[in-house]
Amino acid sequence: MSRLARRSYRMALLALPEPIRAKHGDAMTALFVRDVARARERSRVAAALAFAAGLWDALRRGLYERVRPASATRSADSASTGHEPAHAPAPPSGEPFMSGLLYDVRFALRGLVRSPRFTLLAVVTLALGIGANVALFSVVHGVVLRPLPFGEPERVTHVALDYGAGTSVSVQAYRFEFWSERSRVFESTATWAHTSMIGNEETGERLAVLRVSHEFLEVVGRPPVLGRDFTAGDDVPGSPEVAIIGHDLWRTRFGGDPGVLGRSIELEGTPRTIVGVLPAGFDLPQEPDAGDVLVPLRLVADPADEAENWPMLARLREGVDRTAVRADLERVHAEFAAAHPELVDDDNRPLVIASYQELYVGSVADVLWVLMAATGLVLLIACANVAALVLARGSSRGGEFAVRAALGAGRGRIARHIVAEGLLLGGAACVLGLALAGIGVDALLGLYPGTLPRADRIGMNPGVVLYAVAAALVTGTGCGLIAAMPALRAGVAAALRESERGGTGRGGLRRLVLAVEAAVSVVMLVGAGLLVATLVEIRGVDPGFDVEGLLTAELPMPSGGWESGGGLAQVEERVLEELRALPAVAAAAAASTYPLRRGWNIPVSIAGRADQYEGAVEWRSVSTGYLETLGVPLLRGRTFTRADTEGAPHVALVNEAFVERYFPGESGIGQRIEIGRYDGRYIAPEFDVGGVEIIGVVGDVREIDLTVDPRRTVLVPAAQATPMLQAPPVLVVRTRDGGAGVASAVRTVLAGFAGGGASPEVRTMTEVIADSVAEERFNALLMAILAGVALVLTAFGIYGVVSYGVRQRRREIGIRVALGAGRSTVARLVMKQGMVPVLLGLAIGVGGALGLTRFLESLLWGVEPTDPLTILVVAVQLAAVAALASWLPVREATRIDPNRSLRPE
Amino acid sequence: MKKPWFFILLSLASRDRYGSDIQEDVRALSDGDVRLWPATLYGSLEELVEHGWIRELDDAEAPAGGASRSRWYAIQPEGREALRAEVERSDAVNRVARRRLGRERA
Repeated sequence: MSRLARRSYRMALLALPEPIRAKHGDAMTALFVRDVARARERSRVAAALAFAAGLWDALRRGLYERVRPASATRSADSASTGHEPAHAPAPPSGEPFMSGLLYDVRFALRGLVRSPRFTLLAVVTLALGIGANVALFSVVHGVVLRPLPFGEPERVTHVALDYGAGTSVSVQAYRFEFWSERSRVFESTATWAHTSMIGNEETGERLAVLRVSHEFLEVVGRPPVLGRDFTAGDDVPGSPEVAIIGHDLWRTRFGGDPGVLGRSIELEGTPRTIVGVLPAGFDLPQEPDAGDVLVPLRLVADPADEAENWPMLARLREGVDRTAVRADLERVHAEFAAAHPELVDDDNRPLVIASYQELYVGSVADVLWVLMAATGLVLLIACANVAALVLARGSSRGGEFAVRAALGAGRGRIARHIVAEGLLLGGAACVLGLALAGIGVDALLGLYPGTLPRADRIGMNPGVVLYAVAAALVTGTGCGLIAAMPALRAGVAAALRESERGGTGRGGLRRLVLAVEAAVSVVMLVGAGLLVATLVEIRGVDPGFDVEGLLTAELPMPSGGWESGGGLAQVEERVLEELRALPAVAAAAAASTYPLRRGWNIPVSIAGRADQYEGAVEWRSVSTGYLETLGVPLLRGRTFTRADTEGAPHVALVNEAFVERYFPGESGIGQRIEIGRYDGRYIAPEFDVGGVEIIGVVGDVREIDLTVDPRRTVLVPAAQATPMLQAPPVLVVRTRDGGAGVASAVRTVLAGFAGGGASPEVRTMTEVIADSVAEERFNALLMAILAGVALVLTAFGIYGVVSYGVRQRRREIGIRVALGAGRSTVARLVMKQGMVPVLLGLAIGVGGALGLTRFLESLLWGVEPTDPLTILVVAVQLAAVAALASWLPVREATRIDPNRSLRPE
Repeated sequence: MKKPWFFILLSLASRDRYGSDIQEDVRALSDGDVRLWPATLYGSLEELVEHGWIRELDDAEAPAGGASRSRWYAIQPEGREALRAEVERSDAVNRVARRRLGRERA
């Protein structure tokens, strides 16, 4: 303990200047160690506090010693901090370069403190840019960049089903087993299912349980810290029940007792012997909330079970590369086809390796990267603004620099001082930026529709802080260097001249900076505009039914179950009756699902045409009145009536897309189709009812999503729906005037049927549609916010340049006015200063936007990345903002009184 | 006058002391309120030496006892003077305060 204290204090002492350190260092260290030891006698907490206090004291004193003026006088009257010289005191003698920089920092600090408005504006501007950047980075880092919490994560990969157009996370059980046995590139493979089980019969407390195959912990590389892993023997049905408990559960329920092995834990009434304890912080990102307990999966793979329920994770053998894995997967695929020809059909999709990113993060990564780039641009503009501020301040300090130069400071010296200022501003902005980033991350996560994968671990970790510090360093030095350039180039004499005339030389640089700002703003505005246009396009799509005045709800289950209400059909019948009796309700119906909500799809064949069938037609089971309620037009034929019962001839409605595909040019009425039949074979015997007659054709509805073209759809009467597909339906209600009161009336009716005081959820179709575009809305909103910030910052930049120009050319303007120039002439003259860079920036920005917006393509819909309307709107926006920002300085310019401006300085 | 300075001068007013001794004495004087951590202590000692209110004793003058490597400090006449001025200033403030409080009670 004392060695640690000694070492730490020695390091903290480095904050103090060399003389003090040399003289008193030993005594101070000894004193510190003694203080800490004395505090240790009282308690550990006291020792820790003393430790921290002593170090903090050293650091603080170090800063103080370096910043305070070295008072060379021994006067008795200056009892407090002494006087501060107006100019820099002589730098300490005999010290190497580093303390020279520290000296500059000290002086720069004082200079900044003396111009609080400038400092505040600069720090806040930079902090906004850094904060936004760091916020996005911490999200990107947490969601996309962070490696999975597995041992040697680069060797762990998903194995997924390749659909051609994409991959499906889960595979069939028998494929999992076959590949696990036959593959040569996998060291171990695993699958799992998560569920919740009652862990305490009395309290009904549920535990999140992961049922895992026995190699699971091997694959993820997190062996138990206590006890043993599962064996193949544990994974055999009928073997003794065992469990591995999570670290938290071990501590809370078993008090961290090392003797927990062999004790038992009850799950769903079955006692299991505890054989191991997981390490602390064990986490499976694919199942974020699971992991209280692990139990053996005991998967029994039945080839007839085609359900794709099992995610497959594998650990590659050491040294195996992608090509080898691909070749091996192909080989096993061929072996599988040879061994199980009866399972191989046209749909025999191969297994491929896929990453967690592809499968679980997916398109979210795109959005995040785009937003990250956008915040980078905002930071760029913020830096440009601050650089301009520093330049402006610099030009008014030309005189001060001249005096310093006269006292012996070279160009490099002055430049270094300016860079030091930039660094200090960057440092302060870094701290403020980190605080802002914290807020920003919370806001971002709150706004995001749904949840971001792995969002639970997003936060201020060392990587994020490092990024912030790096950003601050780069921006601070960048701003400083830009501002120092004039001093470096021109030298002292020029500085003197500029201070006399008011420094026109630096205007050029500022105008260039402004052009860059404008260009960047344009790029961001175009991006935001495209995303907003996407949102507008999607909202403008005709879904195929009447959205206004439509409510949706789930059919409430009576507290005693469906049977207590007389069966599902009876309950549905009575609910619909009561709803239709409400005065504000125009129509009500039930269906297997409503548009934009997931529904079944099923193979359908055309009767009598052996080669015409398809695998996924949207299937809906509906009650009478469905079409009227939804507002879907009946184009031909008739709808379902009460006569279409179970015993009656089976009928169906199809949509126009279906008819266009299979009966082009015909009405489609009277044609027969076979629901559930694929390639000559019914997928289940229940579907074989001898075919179904098409009695009507309905309009196309966008069932899947507003951005997806209407799929071919078949509707059947609820009474004739195949039993295996029957499930509690949802309700749709059309209201007469769509007031809020109707929703609560509906809710009351439903609550009357539901058990146990449940409050049924009733949503308007408008809400459902709004939710379906929640992601696009998020993208547009965020991009618009960032573009807005960029635009505001650019406006400040424009204001700065134009007003600077006015100040510079006071004399010139005065002369012109005296010679008879009118106000509009003066206005034009002044505005040109600002407008030329802005127009230049606009041109560059449009060019840049045309090139860069293709990165947005994955986020757009219905809008070209080069949409001319958007670009035009942006140009107008920028011009308007430029005009607005120039207005004040222009007004000032037109009021210049020649008498006053022409007087000598 | 800054608090550390006041208490250091006060401590040295009674007798010459060395570093850690001053720290303990100050703690006793202020009833545990004022803790002079090492950096503040030695930094302030240096400042006081610069101002000429205290001085460092040479090895010859250092009394026996205490660690042989400790630096000893002694208060100077200017320092004593400054201390006295500070005490008087503070006395004046206290007098005013007492009068006001007394008035309120009535």
